[in-house]
Amino acid sequence: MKILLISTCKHKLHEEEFVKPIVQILKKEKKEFEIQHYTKLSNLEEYSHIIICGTALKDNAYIKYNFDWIKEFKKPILGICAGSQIIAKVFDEKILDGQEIGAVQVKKIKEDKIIENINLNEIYCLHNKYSRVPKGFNLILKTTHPQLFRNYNVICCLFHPEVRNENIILNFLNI
Amino acid sequence: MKLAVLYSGGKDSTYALLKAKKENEIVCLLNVKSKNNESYMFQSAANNILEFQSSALEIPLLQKETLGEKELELEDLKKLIEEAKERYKIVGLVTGTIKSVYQSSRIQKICNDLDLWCFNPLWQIDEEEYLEELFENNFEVIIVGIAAYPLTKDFLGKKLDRKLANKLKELNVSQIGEGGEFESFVINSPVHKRKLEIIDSDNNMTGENSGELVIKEVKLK
Repeated sequence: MKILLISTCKHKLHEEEFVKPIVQILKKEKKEFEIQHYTKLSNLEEYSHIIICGTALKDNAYIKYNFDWIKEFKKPILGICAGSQIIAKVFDEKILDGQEIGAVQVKKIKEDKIIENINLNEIYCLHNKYSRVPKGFNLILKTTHPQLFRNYNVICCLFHPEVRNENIILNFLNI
Repeated sequence: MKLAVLYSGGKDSTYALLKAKKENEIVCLLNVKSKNNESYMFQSAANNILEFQSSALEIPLLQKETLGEKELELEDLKKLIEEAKERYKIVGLVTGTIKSVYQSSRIQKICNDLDLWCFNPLWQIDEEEYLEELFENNFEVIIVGIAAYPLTKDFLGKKLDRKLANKLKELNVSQIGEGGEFESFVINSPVHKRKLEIIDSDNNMTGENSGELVIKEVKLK
């Protein structure tokens, strides 16, 4: 198992905030991983799982980029925040304006293995954009925005599971 | 990029400054001087000597007083950041926030409102890994405030080294004081141009397990 973490950060310093917390989780679990920036991806076939990390509120550069490779990648992908929006866009949803910042209460819509052992009382959100649920995906958690939705292999998580809900990442690695 | 650092003089904001300085220009330090030593947002210990810290770092300091009332202190912070934007043309703010969603989300909102980048390079950092990085980077950190059992006045003024970190672990206290158990002050680090030396200080205890080190005299070496 080798995991790819994709950085969506325009500024390197933001990787400390949006990529490194996930690196720490993977290190703790003794997982093998590599980090690539979304503008310089290579050898995707080498990886068993991909996590597309989030980025800063003010960083919207990823929106205009082409991520069509996601449709061809047949192994598990988890998109966090910006990553979630990227995946939704690939599956034909628009990226919409909508802000949630801080700890937010979430409503469970559907049971799913991805939310086993997570803290549903408060999730940590940091976004100015969101998407609706693409066709073929099932909504699992929502606030005023859809927070967690998936088809079999592809999981979109608008909130930040690396803050207080790292079991989502561990559950993802068990797919 | 021209950035400001939300700065307390403590280890977290100083380490965030070190990280940010590698690829950016740090043009000013911002400090909200709270009259409430139980503020959820700001450190009060040792904020009377931040001018010296600013001189030691050779980075200008913008400081603003606040009564420290919940939420109202955020308006004072916003005004301070606006002033930095105006005077120093900053495009972003750096903080040393580690775990506090309360602090982080409020600062994120302010930066978002002011169209500034917000950087939190210590966000969710592993406690032991972080401490090790501080030691490896030769940070000289002292304890200037305590606010939790079983910490007593004996801890005030003590250097946060491996020995003290082990002691804190034995006492089941966060080794980085992340739950507000203690407040720190950096007297030397790789970002310091000059070291600070504390000449005279006193303990101001407000309870058996709460109090501050009042620094009366300090000099730059």
